[in-house]
Amino acid sequence: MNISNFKSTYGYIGFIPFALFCLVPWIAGSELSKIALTFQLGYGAIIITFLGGMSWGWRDNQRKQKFNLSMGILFSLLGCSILSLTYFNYILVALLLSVISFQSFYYFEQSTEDFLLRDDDYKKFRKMLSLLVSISFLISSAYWINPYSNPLT
Amino acid sequence: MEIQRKLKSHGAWVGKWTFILAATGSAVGLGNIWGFPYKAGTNGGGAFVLIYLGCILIIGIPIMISEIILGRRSGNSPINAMRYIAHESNRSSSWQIVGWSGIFAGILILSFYSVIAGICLNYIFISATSSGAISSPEQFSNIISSPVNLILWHTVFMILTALIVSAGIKDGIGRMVKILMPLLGFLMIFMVIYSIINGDFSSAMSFLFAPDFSNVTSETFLQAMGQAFFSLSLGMGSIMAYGAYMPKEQKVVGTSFAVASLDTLIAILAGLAIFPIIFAFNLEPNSGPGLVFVSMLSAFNQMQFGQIIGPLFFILLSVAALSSSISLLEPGVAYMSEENILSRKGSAQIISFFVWILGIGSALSFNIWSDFSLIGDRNFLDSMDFIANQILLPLGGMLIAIFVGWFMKKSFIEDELGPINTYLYVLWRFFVKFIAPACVGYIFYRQFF
Repeated sequence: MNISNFKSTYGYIGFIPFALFCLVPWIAGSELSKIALTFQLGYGAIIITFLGGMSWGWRDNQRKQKFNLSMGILFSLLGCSILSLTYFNYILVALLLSVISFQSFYYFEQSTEDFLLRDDDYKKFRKMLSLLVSISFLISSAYWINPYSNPLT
Repeated sequence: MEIQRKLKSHGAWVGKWTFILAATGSAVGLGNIWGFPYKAGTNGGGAFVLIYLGCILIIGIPIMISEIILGRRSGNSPINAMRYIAHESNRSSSWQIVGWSGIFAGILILSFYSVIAGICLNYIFISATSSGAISSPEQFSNIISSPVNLILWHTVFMILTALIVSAGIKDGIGRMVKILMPLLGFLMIFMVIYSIINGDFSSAMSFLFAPDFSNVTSETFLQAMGQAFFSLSLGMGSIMAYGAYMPKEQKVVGTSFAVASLDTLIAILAGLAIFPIIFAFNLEPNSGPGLVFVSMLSAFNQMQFGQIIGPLFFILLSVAALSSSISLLEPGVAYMSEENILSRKGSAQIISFFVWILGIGSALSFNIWSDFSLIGDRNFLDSMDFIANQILLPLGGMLIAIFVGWFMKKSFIEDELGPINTYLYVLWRFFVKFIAPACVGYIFYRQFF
């Protein structure tokens, strides 16, 4: 198995918790919904922080590496903000911020020199994974907005 | 008699997605949109979905692969396809009866399907202008009690179907499915998003997916097997006819999985679009076919923006119906034109006219012929449905599996399947030889006893 296929397989395995946490509230109802959403946000915050940290491992001699490092810190701080917002019960804001963070990180990664050197399969995989994660957060946001399911209404 | 491939006289699909879209369009129809979610919800939810997926794997996909193999190998309409391959495999040419049965079933189904699809077209306008002053059951009753109204919309729908089919494979069906299927997907996603935000999506998810194994009985298996078989348009020659235009380099197994997956996905999305609205307005989820015309209209009458969402929903249904109806007409038209009985255009017109005449009987079954019984105590429409869906389709599906599993030359099959995983091939052979005919035979038997 080449390394790109290996990365995509592991990437999709990493997506499974997002899929589960966004579907459980709709199926199990209000008792588990808050817990599932909190776990999804927590997991998302860890992942986005980890993604931000990845820029520290990128080649130092690439163009805009200083900018890349600053952006990496920004994404780690966004992860921290998502956790804080969840703690203070701003669930919808945290969900929407997660969507913005994951999509922004994809565009940021896409703009780097090394990304351009990657093979097409990896590029497709990254696009698809970011999209799926964002959709999972959008599905959870809809759960929070929906008048029949929001656990606070 | 020398039987030759006549593919060139029809043309071929352009691009690998055209066949997938056309076959999915054929499979996704009115019964699929209301039938699958309704059956899933009333037969154990997630438990039914799991059993259904199993049935798709052991019945639906093996027979679909068989039909595509037959169609592509011969490059002919179902009748000539069966005759050609039976001849090449040194078998009796009587196997062509499978093709005849499929074409006949398609014509009978289209005759009443067009009447129901005509009601969908009519409902686009009704839902756009309905103020709720007339209750939805009364509205439905007014529609079906008017023979002129039913025949008018039946005529409109048949003209649309005939126009698409007569334009040919590349410029007619191929071009239309590339417009209709993305439109169907877009409308479906829009409806699901609307239902997620505004409907009782939680209850719909529980209804459709929360597994309740206590509800699973032998009847559940029968329902799942029937749904898996009928929802993929098998046994009626449509997939065989479409397979005839499939490029040689396209992979049969992968394509069949893609069609079955898309069909299931659209059925699930339909449930996620319909049931949140039904639950939000405290309507009955198990009202069967009336769910679409009575319950949904009632919901649209009550909801905000109902006069916009309602027409979009009925456009969605009409698009699904149209993509299926063209596949019902195609096998007969392909046969008449390849036999040079008439031109493609002429064949489409003649068969459509015949279907239209038969459809009048179905339209009248709702009103002035409602007491007229044709077979047993069945009215005209129910009799057409009985002959096609309860006799011809299961019989056709079973015979296709038996022919490919037991009588078709193995080298032809391997040639069409191309390089394939050995285990997958052995598994498919086992299903098509033993399991699929036995299961479809059981469905056939249980429809009578």
